[in-house]
Amino acid sequence: MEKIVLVGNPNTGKTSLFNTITKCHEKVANYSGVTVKEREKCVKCFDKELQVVDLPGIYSSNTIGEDEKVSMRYISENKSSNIIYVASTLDIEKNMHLFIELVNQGYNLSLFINENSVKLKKENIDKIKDILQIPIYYGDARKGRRDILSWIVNAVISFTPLSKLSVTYNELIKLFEIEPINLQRLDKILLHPIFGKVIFIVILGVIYYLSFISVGERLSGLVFNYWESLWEYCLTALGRYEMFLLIDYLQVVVIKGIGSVVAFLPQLFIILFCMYVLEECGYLPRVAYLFNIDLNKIGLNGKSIFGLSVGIGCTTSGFLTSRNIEDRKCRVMTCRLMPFIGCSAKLPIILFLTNFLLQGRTLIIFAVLLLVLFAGFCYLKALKSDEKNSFIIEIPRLKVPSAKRLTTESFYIVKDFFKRVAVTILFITSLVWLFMTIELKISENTVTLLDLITQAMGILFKPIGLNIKPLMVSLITGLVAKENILSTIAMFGGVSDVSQEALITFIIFVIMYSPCIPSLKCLKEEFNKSFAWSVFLTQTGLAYGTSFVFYTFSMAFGLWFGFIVSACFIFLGISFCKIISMRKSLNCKNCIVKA
Amino acid sequence: MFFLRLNQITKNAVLKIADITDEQERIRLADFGFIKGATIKIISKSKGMYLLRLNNSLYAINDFLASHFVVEEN
Repeated sequence: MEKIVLVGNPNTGKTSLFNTITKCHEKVANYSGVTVKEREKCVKCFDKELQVVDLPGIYSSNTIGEDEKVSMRYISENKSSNIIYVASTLDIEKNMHLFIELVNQGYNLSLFINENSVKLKKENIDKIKDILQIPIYYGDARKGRRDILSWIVNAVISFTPLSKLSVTYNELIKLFEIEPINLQRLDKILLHPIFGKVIFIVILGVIYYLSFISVGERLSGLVFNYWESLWEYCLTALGRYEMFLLIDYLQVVVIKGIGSVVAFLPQLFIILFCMYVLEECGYLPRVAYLFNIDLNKIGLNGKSIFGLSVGIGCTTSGFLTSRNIEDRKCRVMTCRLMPFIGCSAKLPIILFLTNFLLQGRTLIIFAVLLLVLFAGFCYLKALKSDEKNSFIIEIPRLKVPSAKRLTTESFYIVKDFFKRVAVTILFITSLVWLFMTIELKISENTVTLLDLITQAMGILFKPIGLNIKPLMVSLITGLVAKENILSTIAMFGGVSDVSQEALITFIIFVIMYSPCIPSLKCLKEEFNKSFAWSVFLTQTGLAYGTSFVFYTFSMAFGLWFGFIVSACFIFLGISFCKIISMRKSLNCKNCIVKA
Repeated sequence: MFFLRLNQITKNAVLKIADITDEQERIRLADFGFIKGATIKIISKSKGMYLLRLNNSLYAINDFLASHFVVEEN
């Protein structure tokens, strides 16, 4: 089996090439830092078996970021592999630095020049081929799979390495004849310090409106109705055979439980598609530039935008994307803020409760989201140090993304999401159904196993008004995967006879409490065990405290008073903790002085 | 010929990098092509941020990083 390794600067088209060769659908975007670990896939072509490896982008062999170290380590351990160096016509001058560095270090390189919106002359490519004497392919990394594979099999695999380049870097660059880059016309608005930020907030508002209020909501309803009608035939057949236990299982676990996740898929598709459009066209690095100074005030930097925007889809992916932040403190702060932003799994819960139980009072939900964000920012402000950090990001050219490719990519992400989540939800909801069905006789009373468990849990949840069976059980199942929360509530047939204050407290608790166990596991791997535990304890503690204050004061004095007091509690509570920790560190310094 | 810190430049200009004062930043910025003798153009400057052109690429850097650059006007 021949190993083919794709190497190059970030954002040159390595993952696009990988997807084309292997027919995969790995994530690509028009900014650096998307690929954060190596990916491998085997492919058979022309009677040969190829193992294709896609690596995170690197600027130089002197690596700084964690993702760059992954690449350099892999290349040096696999020096004898066939390395395809991927360069982009958009940044050929910068891309050639690393190319020359690797050739001079004795690596077996072939060159793939990815044609983007900047085109090169064919005569220049032929001249470069004659001078470099290595296999060179010039074309679009997203098209021409057969030609690319033919080039790899016939030219790349049989190539022997160069010992010495016969041309200098400057001479090589002159051969490409690139036109100088300037700010595009659209950048005058997109990079404007005021209009640029307003445009970004409007774009985000439009995305959320499309996904969760207009198009997404209608599609969601249609999908759920279709899912229900799909199982009706099955239920009717089972009814004839009087298999009531199985009917109950299908109705509770499959139709309501899994159905609640199925109904969310159209909304997830729309939000992913819109986020991919923003990434692919090159807009997100511009957003990082616009918001860098504002994010510095809470200890983040502009690159945190990438992790946070991915974290809106899935917190685990957001934690992984934060690898592209070179400053470790900024990275830690970004990961600490992410649970407050909330992931796509929490959104259907908010929507369901807003639409069906709060009679669509979106202003209240907006207040809840603001309260949670306020908590996140207070928390970061308390942790922030006065140390300044440097920031540099490349601003790529704006380009029109391919609608077909983005649709396909979003579809495959949604499909993978459902496959991954459906198994977990089926298992958890089946377990809960079992606990609901198993009955025990205790001193002439018949209770279910779930009744006993929730009676014990009620002591903990009563002070915050959540000692209601569906809500308690869903918070526990939500620790395994947030998608379980809605499916668990659906299993109980929804919630009834619950006060508005308790419902809003529930939403606050759901958004603020600990991220799911897979996210915590990711944090443990990215940082360490104690960091993962501190996130779990901080989030859950803050969620419980805020929920307690909100529920107590809103029941006594009204909803809006509850919001105001909760905001004050968050501010004072976090400030108090900061003062305690500052005094502790001061005392420690005094001890050192005395010693 | 005047040497200035990049963050002291208040208007768009074409400059040559004379030095990068921080050792660690010098190594990191060399990866992007910001080396002694390289020509940069200030495309735009807003509060705390610079937009620079180097070779044929655009970069955004913050004020703190710009303070490490010692430049001379071309």
